Amino acid sequence: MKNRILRNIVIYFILITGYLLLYVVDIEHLFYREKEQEVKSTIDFVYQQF
Amino acid sequence: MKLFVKYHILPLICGLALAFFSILILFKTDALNSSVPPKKVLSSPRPSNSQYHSTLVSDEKTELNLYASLREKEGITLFGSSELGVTSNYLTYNFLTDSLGIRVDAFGHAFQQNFAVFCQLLAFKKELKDAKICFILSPGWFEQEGTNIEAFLEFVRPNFLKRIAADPTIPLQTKLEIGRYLHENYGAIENPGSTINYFVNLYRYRKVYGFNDFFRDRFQEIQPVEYAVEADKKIQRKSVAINWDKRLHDAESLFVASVHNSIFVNDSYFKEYVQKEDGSLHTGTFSEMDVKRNRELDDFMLLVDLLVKSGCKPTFVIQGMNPYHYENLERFNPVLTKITQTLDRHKIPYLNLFTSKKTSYQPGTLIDIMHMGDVSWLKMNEFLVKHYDEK
Repeated sequence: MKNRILRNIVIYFILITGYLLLYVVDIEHLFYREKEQEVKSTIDFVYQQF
Repeated sequence: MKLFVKYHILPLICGLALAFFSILILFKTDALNSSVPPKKVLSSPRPSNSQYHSTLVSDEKTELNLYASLREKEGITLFGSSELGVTSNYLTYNFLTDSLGIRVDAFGHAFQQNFAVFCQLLAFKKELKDAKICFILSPGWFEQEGTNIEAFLEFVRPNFLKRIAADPTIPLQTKLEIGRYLHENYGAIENPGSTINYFVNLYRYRKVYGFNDFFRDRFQEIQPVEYAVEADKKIQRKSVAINWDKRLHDAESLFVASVHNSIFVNDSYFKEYVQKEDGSLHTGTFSEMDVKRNRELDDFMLLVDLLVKSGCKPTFVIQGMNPYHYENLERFNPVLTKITQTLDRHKIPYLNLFTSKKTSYQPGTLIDIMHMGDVSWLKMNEFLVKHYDEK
């Protein structure tokens, strides 16, 4: 029983830490200096004369 | 249920707490810091000869035009939106340069609004002192929810954001304002990159203990960007006297003689956009606005605050709208009052071309329902010469 609780703590710890490191801290940028990609909007705003 | 809480909820809470504290410990070490990238220098022997720069997106070197214009203190940097692309013999950036030898470089096209301009100037904060900068405001902006993300990304270039992020003299609150904007529009950004993510994370985790300091200090990993031009764009001043009153009178007379419709717009525009097939007319209506909750007005205040603190020499031109087409233009008056009161308080000169009344509308002010005509351009040119050149 205790082993199961401990195992689940470890699993959740790894999952949450992994998420924080990859998506919040963005640890990938430490290893891969990003190639500059063009930043653009996914929405095209159409100008209306009228 | 009890078993679920025991084997999942409690371990989840423990795992979350352990993860949070582990990350905080990592933040305190150098494990998550990367080295400062080398400085990027954009340079050119001289800026472009062109006076109008509708976009900065085509090439990184077009950014140098803005830098060069702000750096050279004799001429004027002009920011506007769609009106900069109209056809007129009196377009400020052509007329003042060609007729009087006053350098004017104009930047912008449709959708450039206050927040985009604010961020561009923030990126060149060090070049603002004593710079002569004129802003054309459009009442229609204040009906919308601020600068749209496509325009922001087009005018606030990645190099500008890098300069803002890396500038320690820019207050955290200002960077958080940019972070707020990018966070709100994050879903519409393709390939945000580390600089945009810096601002977004700065905002998102501003209240999370440990995370806020970590993300704030990450500006040290952002590549510094410098601009350099070897020679400023200098133009020979011409000693020419212009009879502004006569020019205005002629421009109005010519315009009135050229139009044959009841709302004082170009005939071709009238036929294409205003007149319906049955001969009746489309009309527009100006939206209700709440002065206390207006995104564009808030952005305008940010811009004015920057201008006042930077020591530049700003002027504003408030465009008109056609009261023969639009109903309820008086709805803009509370916002207009707020704008003019703010400018008066800071002793910033402005030219107000807006009127909600047909009786005080001068034909030729606009060529259509919203874009400046010869009369407006002439008034603006006279205003700029009298304010910047004759002192």
